[in-house]
Amino acid sequence: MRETPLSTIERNFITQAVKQNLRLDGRKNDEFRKVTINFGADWGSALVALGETKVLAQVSCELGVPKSTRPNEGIIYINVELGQMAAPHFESGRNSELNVQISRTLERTFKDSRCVDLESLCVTSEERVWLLRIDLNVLNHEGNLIDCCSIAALSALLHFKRPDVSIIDNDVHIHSAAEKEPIPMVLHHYPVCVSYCLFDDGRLAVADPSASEERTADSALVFGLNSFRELCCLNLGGTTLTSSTLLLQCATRAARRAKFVVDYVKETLEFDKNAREDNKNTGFTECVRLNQITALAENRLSLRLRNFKMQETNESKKDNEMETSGNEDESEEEDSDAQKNVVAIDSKSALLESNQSNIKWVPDDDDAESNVESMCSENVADEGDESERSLSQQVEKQMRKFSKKESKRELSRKHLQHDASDSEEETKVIL
Amino acid sequence: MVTPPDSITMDTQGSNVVLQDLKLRQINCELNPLTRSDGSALFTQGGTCVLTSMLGPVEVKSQNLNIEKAHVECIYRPKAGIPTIEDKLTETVIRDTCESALLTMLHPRTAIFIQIQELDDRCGIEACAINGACLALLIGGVPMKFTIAAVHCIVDKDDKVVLDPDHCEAIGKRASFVFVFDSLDKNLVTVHTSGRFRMGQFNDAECMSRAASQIIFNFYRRIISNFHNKSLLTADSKARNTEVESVVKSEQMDI
Repeated sequence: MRETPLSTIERNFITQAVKQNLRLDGRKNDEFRKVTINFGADWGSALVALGETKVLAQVSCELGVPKSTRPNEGIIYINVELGQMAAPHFESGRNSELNVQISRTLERTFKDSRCVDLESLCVTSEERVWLLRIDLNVLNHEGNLIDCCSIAALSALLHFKRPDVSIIDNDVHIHSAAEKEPIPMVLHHYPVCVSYCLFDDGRLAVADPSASEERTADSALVFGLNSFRELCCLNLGGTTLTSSTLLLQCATRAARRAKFVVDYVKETLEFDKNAREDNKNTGFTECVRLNQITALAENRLSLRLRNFKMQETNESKKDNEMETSGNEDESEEEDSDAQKNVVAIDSKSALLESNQSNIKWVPDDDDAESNVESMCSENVADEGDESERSLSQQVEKQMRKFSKKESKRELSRKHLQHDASDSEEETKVIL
Repeated sequence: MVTPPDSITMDTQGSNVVLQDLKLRQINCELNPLTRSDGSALFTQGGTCVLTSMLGPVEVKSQNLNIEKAHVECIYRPKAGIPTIEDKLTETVIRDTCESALLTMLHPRTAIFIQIQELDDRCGIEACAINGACLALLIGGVPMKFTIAAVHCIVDKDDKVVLDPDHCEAIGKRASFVFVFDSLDKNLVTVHTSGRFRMGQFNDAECMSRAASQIIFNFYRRIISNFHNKSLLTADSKARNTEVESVVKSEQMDI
């Protein structure tokens, strides 16, 4: 099936709304969706939901022969599967551009940043090592697949335990979980991807884009960051970025987000571990029983009004019907109509109540603009902070490389320095 | 139409069944967990869990075009690794079973796609996948002749026929059966067997499965009526959803 084209009117609506710091799902430009992580019954299986975007990750391992260039290191393979379940226009078994982009970004984030201790995966040098395979099955595509996939891959890696082996007479014996306790993975640092979409010729950044925003945006910006605010991967697709301040500012915010996500992953892992220790039932079945998997889908309306909240009155039923008419598959034009309708009701019957003291539907223009400026100044002001400065330097170096090479698309480099001086040295070498 | 997510738990253990040993593992289902498909269901039975989704009737590729009926396709995804030959066989069994239940002649020159994603396999995944696919098709709103219910049975290591075993009971099994029945006359739609067994054991397993299929049909009826009543009643009140659920959870099913 072909992808449904996005009409000009939909595109215009999204770009206009973004300029006013408004989005269809009620978020502000710098707001992210909620992350939910569920673990399966087997080791190394995780179902991650980012809003309505859902990805299932499963880590598996088998014994194999190492590469001759790296005889004492295990091998990681990342496979991203975009099937018809994710969206009607995807075809399973065919490598689309999106598929390649996601798997390459994840490879750079997880493999090239050397976050997994590959040497611990070695059984006998030059003969047998563990081949680790991360399968990412995309279940529902509602935008920002890269972030969701990276969180799923990280949680599955951290959840995974490989069986213990012993070598008897040059023969490898793999112990079952009952014989010997499986061994958890060793990770040096925990990277995740945080992506932004750029609008208005690279003047505005939108965090955690939805599917329609992704299709409308001028370019996409992906940061691979770990919880120590270190940059593992940077990807800029689409048209070129015009302002370096915006990039720096996005990087700072992305680092904060990465820290939050990694902390959340650790928290859910701890929860899962405790549940297993208490011999409680675990796995997806239990999650369904506790109604956890769609618990994040508080309601299925993609249209949310930020400045207004529903007030329960006797007439609320009529109002609910109005809201359900804002079907998420309908065009944005209709959505905007629905918004107007609701506002009109507000003035007549006062069914809606403003969150703010003064009722205004459109936020101040300077609010949207100051969004950019305040972030810039904040970044400059924070220069004293050592870690933040090192991050901004890393990004600046990336920028310099961009201009040097004069290439406009898909440039990225891996940086893994623990302090600023290191990164400076390396840049000199590269330049 | 936007439909709210739905979840109903039904403890089949507590049902007052006349036949002895007629127990299925706990069945549980969540309807429409996905937004991009026409219909989807998260179906769990015991520890086994599958996610099914359907799409259709949609445009068809010219090589699959049939002027008399809709083309039905099924994709089964294991959660780790690439699909094996065994998975392809499962795919074919599910496709043929669903095709026999669908009124495909009503939508000529179209295609109906069924996708199945394994989430947790704790024995009986094939039966679980067929039941999940049936629910997804019901939610997706394609016309069907009848609904179908699949039941899994094994002959265990002591030569006893066990209905819907969990993975511990299934260790060292000699044979396994999957029976699929239709909802009208409880006729057999599909039989899929593997291993060695005697004809008597096969007949025993069929009798048990046929009786047990009624539990699954009752579950379908209950969850679908609940789902549609609820979508009429509520727009987005999560509180009301949970209220309804708690009522349903406490109810017991009569056969």
